[in-house]
Amino acid sequence: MPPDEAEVIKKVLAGDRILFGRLVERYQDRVYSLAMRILRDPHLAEDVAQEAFVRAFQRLAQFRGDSAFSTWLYRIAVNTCWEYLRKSSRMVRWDAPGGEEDDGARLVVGTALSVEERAVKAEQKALLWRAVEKLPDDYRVAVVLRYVDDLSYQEMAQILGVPVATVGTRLHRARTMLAKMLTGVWPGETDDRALP
Amino acid sequence: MIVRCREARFLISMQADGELRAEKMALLAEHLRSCPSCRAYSETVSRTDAFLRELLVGGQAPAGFLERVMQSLPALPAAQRLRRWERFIPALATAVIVLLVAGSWLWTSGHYQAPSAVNTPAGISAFKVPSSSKPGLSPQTSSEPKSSTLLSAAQEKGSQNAVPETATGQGRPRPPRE
Repeated sequence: MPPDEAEVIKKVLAGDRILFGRLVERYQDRVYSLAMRILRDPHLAEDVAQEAFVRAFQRLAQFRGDSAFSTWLYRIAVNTCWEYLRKSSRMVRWDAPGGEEDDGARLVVGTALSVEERAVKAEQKALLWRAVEKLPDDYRVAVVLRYVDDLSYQEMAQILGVPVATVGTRLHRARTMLAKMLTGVWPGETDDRALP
Repeated sequence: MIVRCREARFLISMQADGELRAEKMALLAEHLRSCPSCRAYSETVSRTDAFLRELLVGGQAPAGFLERVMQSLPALPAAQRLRRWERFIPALATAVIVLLVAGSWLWTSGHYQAPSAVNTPAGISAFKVPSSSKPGLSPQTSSEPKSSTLLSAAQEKGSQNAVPETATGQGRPRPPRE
């Protein structure tokens, strides 16, 4: 945690609530991006990000400095996202041809696209984004956390409240699923069903 | 040690996250040299990783977000109020200790000055602070009939209502008989 951050937190706890704005300013983009990528709805993401900051303010006295402030804040944000996901039933709907049994592995984006489209990078990005959206929530949250702030497994484990090994497993499975969903978008061996 | 493809792919994922230790990295490199399938998978992961970085890194909160957050903050969280209160605990504890020590000193000094004369007017006066020692305070003198009257009334009432201890030793106070 940056030394000035520790000082700001101390002062906020002493009653200087205006200084909390400095923390909001520092993390608002990342918290909003996190919520946006998990919830996939800009308005909902804004509400959730705002709620996360209010909760962080209310619980600031509980922050002991055992982890980075950002890790603690992201945990609040992710948990708030989970609450909204449960409430609004915005769970990922599997519409892959193979259904859930196939882990959404065969979105078969390649069959719906021409050779020319596959060559376009922008289109590849769009496809990847669609594939990320198809991931189960647990895996998508792990992927989002991994890239939003380049977090380590240890930090992600603290945020998600799971063992470090679970973080590695979720990211590995997410990558395997993404690779399968993107079969044909770029070349490469992705099918590991018959692997030794 | 021979790494199988399944494990190799897990290691590829860890490598992409920068979480792979050196010894495992060497094992993975050895496997990749001899396995074209895992090499292709590794390339896929690298490409996906690069795209994910472009997709997920960055992003800006909407304009006015900071102001909206600050406006929606509660006045003062209960937890923080508790912390403010906690800050006064040492001072309060010190004050209580000082009062207790001073009180006990006053009590014991008065008690030992006239231990057997508590029920007498002289005994009462033993508890009084001499007016000369507390110039700022109004002296408690015989001109305050209220306290002495109440005390003597209570003493009188107590003597009337006194219940002697019984043979059973219960000796509990009982209401006066009508």
